[in-house]
Amino acid sequence: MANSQIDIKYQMCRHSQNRGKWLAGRLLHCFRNDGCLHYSENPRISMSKTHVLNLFSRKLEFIWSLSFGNWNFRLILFLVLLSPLTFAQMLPDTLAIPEVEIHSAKKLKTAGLQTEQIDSLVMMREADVSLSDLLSAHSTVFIKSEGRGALATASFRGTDASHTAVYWNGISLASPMLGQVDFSQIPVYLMDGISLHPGTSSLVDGSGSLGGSILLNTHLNWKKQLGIKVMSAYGSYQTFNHYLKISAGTAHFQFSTRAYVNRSENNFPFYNKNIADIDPVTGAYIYPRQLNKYADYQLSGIMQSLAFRFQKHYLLQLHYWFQYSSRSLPRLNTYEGDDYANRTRQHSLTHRAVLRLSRFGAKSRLEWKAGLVAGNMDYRVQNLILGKDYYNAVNAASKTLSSYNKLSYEYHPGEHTLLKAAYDFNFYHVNTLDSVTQNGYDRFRRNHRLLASWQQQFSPRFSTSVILRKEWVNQFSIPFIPYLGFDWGLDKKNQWLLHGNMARNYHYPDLNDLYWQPGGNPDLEPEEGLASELGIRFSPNWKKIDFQTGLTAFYQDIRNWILWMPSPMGYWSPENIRHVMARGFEATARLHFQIKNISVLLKAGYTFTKSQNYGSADKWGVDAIGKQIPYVPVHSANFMADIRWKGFSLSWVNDDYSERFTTSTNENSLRDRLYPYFMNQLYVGKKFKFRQGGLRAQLKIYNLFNEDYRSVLGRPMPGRNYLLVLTFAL
Amino acid sequence: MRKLKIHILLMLAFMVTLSSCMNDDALRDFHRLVVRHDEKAVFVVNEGNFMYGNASLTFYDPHSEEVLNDIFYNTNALPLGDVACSMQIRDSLAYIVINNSGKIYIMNMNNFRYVGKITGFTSPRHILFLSKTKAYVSDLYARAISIVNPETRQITGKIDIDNHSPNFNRHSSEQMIRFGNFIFTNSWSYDNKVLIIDSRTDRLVDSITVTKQPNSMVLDKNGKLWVMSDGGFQGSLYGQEMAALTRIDPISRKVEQVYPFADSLASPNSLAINPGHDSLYFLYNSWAGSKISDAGLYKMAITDIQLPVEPLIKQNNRLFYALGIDSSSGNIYLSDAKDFVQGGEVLFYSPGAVLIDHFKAGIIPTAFCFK
Repeated sequence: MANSQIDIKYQMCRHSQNRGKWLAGRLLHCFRNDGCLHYSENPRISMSKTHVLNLFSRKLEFIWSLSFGNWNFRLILFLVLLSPLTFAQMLPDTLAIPEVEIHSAKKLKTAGLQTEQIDSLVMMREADVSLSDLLSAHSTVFIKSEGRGALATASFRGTDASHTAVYWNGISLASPMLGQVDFSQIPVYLMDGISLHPGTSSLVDGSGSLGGSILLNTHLNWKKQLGIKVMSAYGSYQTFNHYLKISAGTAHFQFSTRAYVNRSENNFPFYNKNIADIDPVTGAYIYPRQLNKYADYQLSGIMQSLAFRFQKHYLLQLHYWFQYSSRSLPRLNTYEGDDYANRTRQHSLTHRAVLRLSRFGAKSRLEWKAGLVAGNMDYRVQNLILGKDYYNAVNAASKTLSSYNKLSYEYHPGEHTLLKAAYDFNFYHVNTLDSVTQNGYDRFRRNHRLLASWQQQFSPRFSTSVILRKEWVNQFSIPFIPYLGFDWGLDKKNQWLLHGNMARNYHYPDLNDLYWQPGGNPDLEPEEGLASELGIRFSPNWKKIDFQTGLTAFYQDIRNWILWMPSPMGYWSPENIRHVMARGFEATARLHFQIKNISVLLKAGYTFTKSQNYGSADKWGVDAIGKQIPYVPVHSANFMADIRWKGFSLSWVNDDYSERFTTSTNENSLRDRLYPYFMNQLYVGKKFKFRQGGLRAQLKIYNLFNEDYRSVLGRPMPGRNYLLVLTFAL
Repeated sequence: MRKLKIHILLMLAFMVTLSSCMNDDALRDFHRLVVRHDEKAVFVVNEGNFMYGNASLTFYDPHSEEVLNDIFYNTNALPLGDVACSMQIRDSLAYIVINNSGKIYIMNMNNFRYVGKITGFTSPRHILFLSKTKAYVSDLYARAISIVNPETRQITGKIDIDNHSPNFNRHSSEQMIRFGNFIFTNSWSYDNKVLIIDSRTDRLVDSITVTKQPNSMVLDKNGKLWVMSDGGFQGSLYGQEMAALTRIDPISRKVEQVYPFADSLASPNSLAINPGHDSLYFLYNSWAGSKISDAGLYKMAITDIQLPVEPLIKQNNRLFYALGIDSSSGNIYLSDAKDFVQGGEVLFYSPGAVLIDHFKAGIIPTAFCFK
């Protein structure tokens, strides 16, 4: 089978001056004898056929390889979604700076784990957008966005946005107040690798994410080279995005600095057909042409990464990320109040830092990690009083502090076994106060977590994983969280792989749920999910065609689902009232081939999700029982076609959802219909090479067919718009 | 390779079919409702979800038992807006105040056609007509009451009610009741005042202190003003008082009697009065999350010396959200907003609290208007 794979692995090893040992007929782990980090110095290793396995590590952060003396590690190659590496190699488009790091093959992968990796080609095409735009067009996650630059949340497999965890270099980005992440506030440019663990697979990363988890990673390479990359994007509605990356270092010390400024007036024009004047003569409606006012946004920040290798066995990494964000919250398209009557603005300042120290032993890895996230958010609604001055109607200032501490140990007693134990201590503090109403709370939370896992490869074709988690939140003891998974190669070449898992998971209420003033409910129970999935993957070793496809069926039963309900006079309060059954399947396919000098990539994903409410009819009324959860589309799909020829590139990105309901009974009047959504984007690019460095120009056309549409209620959406992205790399 | 090309072509063709247009025009190009209705009717104002823009209007004909939901949209192909708050009928026109859209829509009462609008408010709540050419519009955030001319449909002035308080006890205006030349309005949100406006000079002339957060008011047959206060909520730095019902003499502007409630979790609201103006009705329940016993609709004679102890209609599993009394028949209309993200239900009872019927309304039925 895998001659080409062995070639690749051989080359990888050659580059790290190693002698790989392979067991016959199977791709094996590549190892080194010197105990140092394993990396590639050549980003252009030919890997056109590879399938990099190794989705073992939940943190793709920085990948290393261990020395095990003469231990030969035997790994089955599970053909999974391509690692970014694979892609980078295929790209004639790649600029002088490698866009991704090599994830070397290593160790046993968690059996039953499902990973959806964002292609590095996609990451490159979408480097200038936010994570919400990337995921909505290129993954199976459902993104609910309130518009361009506005709040965007993500949900997996029919669950809630608070059930999606996001980890950046291993620390959670979710606000401890809301338990949610605003995906519009994460620039793709900052990340070197993005992967998704839907459903139960998220338990390798942490607990509580009933929907799934998203991993964002910053990598460093060990090149002795100065790298500079500048990317500037200019677009419609006075949009300017600028990014800079400088990296340098030696074989033992590396740093990279990234800085960015994004801003947009976002004042797109639209015909507002939700309001009208009446023509005094004909009686016909006159729809005004308006600008999307008060929707400007600005995002800027800096990310610094440092890494040291020392004493052969140690790796120390530091990542620091500061971000400032300011945006105006636009009015709905039915607004006809005084144009100056009010203004709403949100500012936030966030510092995030991760320090991790790893020791690589002969058969083990010990790691200590400390992370700190400090955020200051300020949300203000101001009204113009008697035409004189603006006064605050809401002035909510929230300060959050999250500290993450983790000690983990991995041990390989033999080549078929991996044992792991970890202890986490997390601390959260939230202080929030609306200075107008003096409502707020000041609370903290301590969270202890224990993890034990055992991965065993029983035969070349069959392996299992067991993960056990136990947690305490303050004094509250969360019941055991178990995970059990298996991988089973159906044929000798392991081209067909059956994988499955089951797990129980708990999501403890977030601090706002418990303490928000007014309405917080301290009596809430954790949400409980019982989930399982079964899937099959097919990754044939065809000669000139690179093809993978997979189908996964999932099922999850969530009890005590927390939902905020309004009360008379407008106060909201959360209750454990929903019982949801979410089930469905995901299908993905990816095809890459070359005809002469034309390289073609086709990629498609489809998800079918039935996520239904089986709560008590007393509370919901009979009409809501068995109905789809609001804002969860039953069908969602995405396609991408990318063609490259002599430095030119053309991509078509298509993103579709079926109707979303905004009511629990799924009875939407025509007025509130969120009809099926089909969005098309077209990217045209050309790469220029210079003696030193290269320039890539890319023109992006959004909303290709200039459609009038809505994707949430009450918000205008922009028509066809353009973005010119220039990337210069040295 | 040829096979492959066919493959690609098929795939592209598939994508093209999927990329067919989103049909936004279907939201307007439908067969609009054409009706004519001159008889008595009940209108339910459904506020919809905040920031969803899905407020709606429900029509109910008690005679034929016909229910028409979304009557405004279905007739006019225009959404009402975000958070409809109240509706008043004057002559043949209805004025629907849409709070978070900063406007008042004007609708023909006989065919439900959209005929015009008054725009440019901050956070309008209720409208009170003083004459053909003058009306007041209360406002939650503007610290002013707007004076409008219903004929020209323009805002003609503002009544300054700003007391320059930095956070608590800022004056706002909610319901408005006319007593002679004076307009009484309750300042509900984090305040404890009933404000008095002189309609001749359009100025704030006086105020009466009541229990915190007066949310609704009625005038009885003896010319006494009754004010329901919810007292705020537990844990608020503004401080909570026991909810109370207050009787005020609008002539002397003095509080005559205070009837405090016994349960600190109680948040009574929606004070209403029967056609004879001698019996008060109100909803007795609590903020969400807290349960109180004996929640429901209560009735009290204006001559009673203490608050009633038994509900007239028990709430049970429901959560009564709005109350309306038909001023001609005396029938009691109650709404249940259910989970707040589905159409609510309206139940109506005879004055003696016998259930007559129920029907489905729009999302969060918040007010009733009787034609």
